[in-house]
Amino acid sequence: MKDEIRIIIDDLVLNAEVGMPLLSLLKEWKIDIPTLCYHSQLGPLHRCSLCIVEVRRSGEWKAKHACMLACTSGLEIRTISSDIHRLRARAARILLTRGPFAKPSVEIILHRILSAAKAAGIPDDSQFLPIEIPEESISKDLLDQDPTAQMRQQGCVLCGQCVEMCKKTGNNFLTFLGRGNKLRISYVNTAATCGKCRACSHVCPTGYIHSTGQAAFAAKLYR
Amino acid sequence: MSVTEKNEEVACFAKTFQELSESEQQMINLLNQVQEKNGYISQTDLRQLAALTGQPEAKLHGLVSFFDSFRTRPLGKNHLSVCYGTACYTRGANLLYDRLANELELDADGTSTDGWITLDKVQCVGACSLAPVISVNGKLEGKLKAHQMPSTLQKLRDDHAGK
Amino acid sequence: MLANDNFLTDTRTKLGLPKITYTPASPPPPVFPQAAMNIAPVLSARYGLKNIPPLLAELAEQGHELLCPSNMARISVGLATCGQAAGAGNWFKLLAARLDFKNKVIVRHVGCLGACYGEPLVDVRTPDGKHHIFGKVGSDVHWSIIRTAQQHVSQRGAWMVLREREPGILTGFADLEIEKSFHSAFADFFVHQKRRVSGNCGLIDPQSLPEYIGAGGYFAFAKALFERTPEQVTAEMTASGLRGRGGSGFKTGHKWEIAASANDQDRIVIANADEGDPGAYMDRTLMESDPHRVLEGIMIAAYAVGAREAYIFMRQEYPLAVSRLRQAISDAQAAGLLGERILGTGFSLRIGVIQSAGAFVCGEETSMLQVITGQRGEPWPRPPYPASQGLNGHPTVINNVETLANVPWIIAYGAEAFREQGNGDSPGTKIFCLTGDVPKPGFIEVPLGINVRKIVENIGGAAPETVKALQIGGPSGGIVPYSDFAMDFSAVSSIGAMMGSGGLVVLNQSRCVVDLTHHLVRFMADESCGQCLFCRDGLTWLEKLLSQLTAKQGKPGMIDILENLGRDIAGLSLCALGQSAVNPLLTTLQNFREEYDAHLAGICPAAACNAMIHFEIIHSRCTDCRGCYRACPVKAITVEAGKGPAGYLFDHDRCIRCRTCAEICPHNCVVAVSGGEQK
Repeated sequence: MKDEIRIIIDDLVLNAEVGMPLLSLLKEWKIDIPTLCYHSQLGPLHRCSLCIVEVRRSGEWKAKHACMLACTSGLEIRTISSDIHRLRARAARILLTRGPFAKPSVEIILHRILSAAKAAGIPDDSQFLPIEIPEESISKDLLDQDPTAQMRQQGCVLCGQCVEMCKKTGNNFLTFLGRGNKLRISYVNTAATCGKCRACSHVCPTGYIHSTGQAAFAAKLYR
Repeated sequence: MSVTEKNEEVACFAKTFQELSESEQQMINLLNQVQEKNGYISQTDLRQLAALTGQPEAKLHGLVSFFDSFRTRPLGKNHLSVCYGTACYTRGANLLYDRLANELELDADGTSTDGWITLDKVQCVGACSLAPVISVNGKLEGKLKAHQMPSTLQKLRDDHAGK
Repeated sequence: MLANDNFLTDTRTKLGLPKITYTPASPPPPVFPQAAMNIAPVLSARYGLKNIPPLLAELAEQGHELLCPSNMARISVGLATCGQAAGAGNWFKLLAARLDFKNKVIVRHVGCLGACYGEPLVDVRTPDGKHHIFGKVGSDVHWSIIRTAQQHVSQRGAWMVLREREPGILTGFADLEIEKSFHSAFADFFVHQKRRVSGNCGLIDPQSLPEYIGAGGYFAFAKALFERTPEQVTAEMTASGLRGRGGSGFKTGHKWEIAASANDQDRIVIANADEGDPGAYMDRTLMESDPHRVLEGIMIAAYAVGAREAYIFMRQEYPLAVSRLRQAISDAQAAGLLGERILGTGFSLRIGVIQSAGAFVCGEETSMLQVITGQRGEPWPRPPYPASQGLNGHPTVINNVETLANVPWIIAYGAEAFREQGNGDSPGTKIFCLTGDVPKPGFIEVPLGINVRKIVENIGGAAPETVKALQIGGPSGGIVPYSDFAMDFSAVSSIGAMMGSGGLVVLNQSRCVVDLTHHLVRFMADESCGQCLFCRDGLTWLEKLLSQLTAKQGKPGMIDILENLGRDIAGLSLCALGQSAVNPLLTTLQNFREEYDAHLAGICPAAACNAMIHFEIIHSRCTDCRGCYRACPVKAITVEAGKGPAGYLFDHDRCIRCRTCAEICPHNCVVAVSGGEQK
């Protein structure tokens, strides 16, 4: 029996295993936290930024990601607040700019976050967020390098579950390329062809991978 | 590639690996060495490194693409970098870069279409007292003005012609 | 300069003498220098080392003969990156090739004295222990240098004469005092500094192990190894209160304690030499000018925490530093100061150099560890901190290069002496790189807590009314208005900025802080590893907004978004890159709000942002020379003859704001103007 400690979630005092990632705990207890990059077997990948909660430190509430918190003695969090609505809505707006998505479930999750924020009285700042990606934001050099693959792989939220899953199967065909706003996913494999296991399409939350990773990710480091 | 050639290439890589001291046999050092030798890292290089070290090829692609200084295509004959450090930026680095870019016809990688020169931006070479600074084939030149850039390029052409 | 070179070569050819080639890798062999005294006992007494290992004694004497020859003069030419870029290599070649120097003068190359604005710098040491410093060396002082060296008398053209307080003893800049100053600005540059950590820079040959030891090097290491236990060494570090010099300000002693008290016996020390802050080159200078000091710091740290392996993680953009460190490691190894059973004790240590490849985020501890293990540099959440679980899960002490360079000094002179400079919150000295709009930019070391005005005005020589703002601490730091404040961790933090690693960029009235903020945010957006949505896409969003603002496309309400989005990014990012990337933005919003408001209205108060400026001629200064008209690359200037300055017309739509006209004008009459009528 692992060490148990008491933590407080939304004013409820509960027992938790010490050191367990908070998000795993919340998911286990089916507490409603939106996520796109969490997978029960892969663990938290801290890439989608939706699992925002607030943790009490020195008497003040600070917004943090549930996937980056671990259960420790004295942990006190809440899952609903005005600021949580605002931040999740901001994250949702940013994620929506990476759409449209093949799976409607993603749009539903994100739009529900936006409606909840609206209902809580959070003002809409989307006028400042370009929903249409202007041509300049896609680096010209990378477009030229690989015209078949938009660097911004529209429809992919870069959650990384496919990359992790492909590693877990032992295939190691997928990888992130670049960094920052040039981040994208590439399929690399000279030895064999993929297409048999479909593990990546199984975990893809947006449906960007509809058949195989090879078909989905045309971005290449070498032309 | 013939079997002998292939073996030689792998042997060359193995030698690169051993040239590093035991405590330096890190992948990133290997990649730096390959780039120093050939001026860039080719897909074949990565394939062979993957085979030599037992790492997945995709992982190496991911690692190489993470960094600014790794090139996947060869440089032009000359390499001109404009420093974009804070001091250089405030003293007009972008004016230098824009002037140079206007004088040259560059492709998507920043290499001129005739392969003569590669122009890129670099983040702080640490010669801030000479801002703004450019690096011409590794040699630093400082305290420059945008209107001097055409003659910088001309000097490079003349040096080449002289050879 | 080059004329002299050809003259010399021609003469040699005419006389049928073979050409002399200079191979910088192997310094010319010293010829019969002699020292007046034995230095080893003096050094031991100074550093409190009771028994001198014979190796150190021997190398100390060798080095001392080179540093302070009593029967020859010594010319030291500064050949670090700044010196080389200023053309010092040619001077070294010429001086080293002189036949009449044989048995009379030795010529050595040294690192950076710090007065980068004065490069090339040459130091002529005469046997009486006086150092005649020549700055901005050109052909006009070439012969003065030679005569000073030959006749042992100061010649016209020297900027300053320093003398060894005790002639024949030179363990760093602290052993020198100013005897004569012929160039008050140059003296001012040094008078306010306390060069402890950078004491050897510019005085010793960085590629010579004997010179390092002759200046007192490795005596502290020997003291730690033979006369202190690891626990005592760590205790000394804790007592000193030394705080991380790379920007974090974390107590070094505490970090060592965490690692030393771990159950896991495999400890590792890593020197963070991935100095990514643009505008900061403190670590580069230390590594190029005094690489052994960095090694000594690593060695003492390894001894204290019980590490057997150590690494130096280096920026790829510093090739000279990489090669000097690699050579220093191999020299130390050859001498038995590294490797197995060092100096006959049970302590063994290997140091490896790992070169990065151009990614700012790798300066973050966990990102660096990822790269060292061959992964992409994506940081992981902390805890666990590397000091408890780092490289491959082992306790790993990661210290900045400057932090480590402090270690030998503290062990040599003690924690109390260390605390004599600085203050309770920030003890000791700090190296800063003073750059930007200042007449005397350079690499300086001052006591923490010093008033920033002393740095900018006395050392840097800037006139206070010209200084608008200071950019402190690189892209993670802040931009603050110029005022009286102390340069230490808490004082700078209380004005909303971060002291950072030591970058200090001075901005004059013609610099736009909104544009600079845009540049720094763009830098951080490019350098983000891309894991966290708010850092990756949030910074990109911020960059787009700032781009619109500086392109005259700002919309009302934008500034509030900038502020709260900035705070969101800082609060929700996993690592210090995202957490600190918005510091320039938040500090400028706090201190220069009116500039943001002006940009919203389409005006750039500094007249710098291209979309909001046009160029005009100040008629009273114009001499109708037509220089601007001829130089304009897009022919945006036309001249109506016979009207004088009034006949110059600028086509503001054609103009590309390249500023060639302003740069070319001999009378500074072409100026950028923002707002107002376009003439």
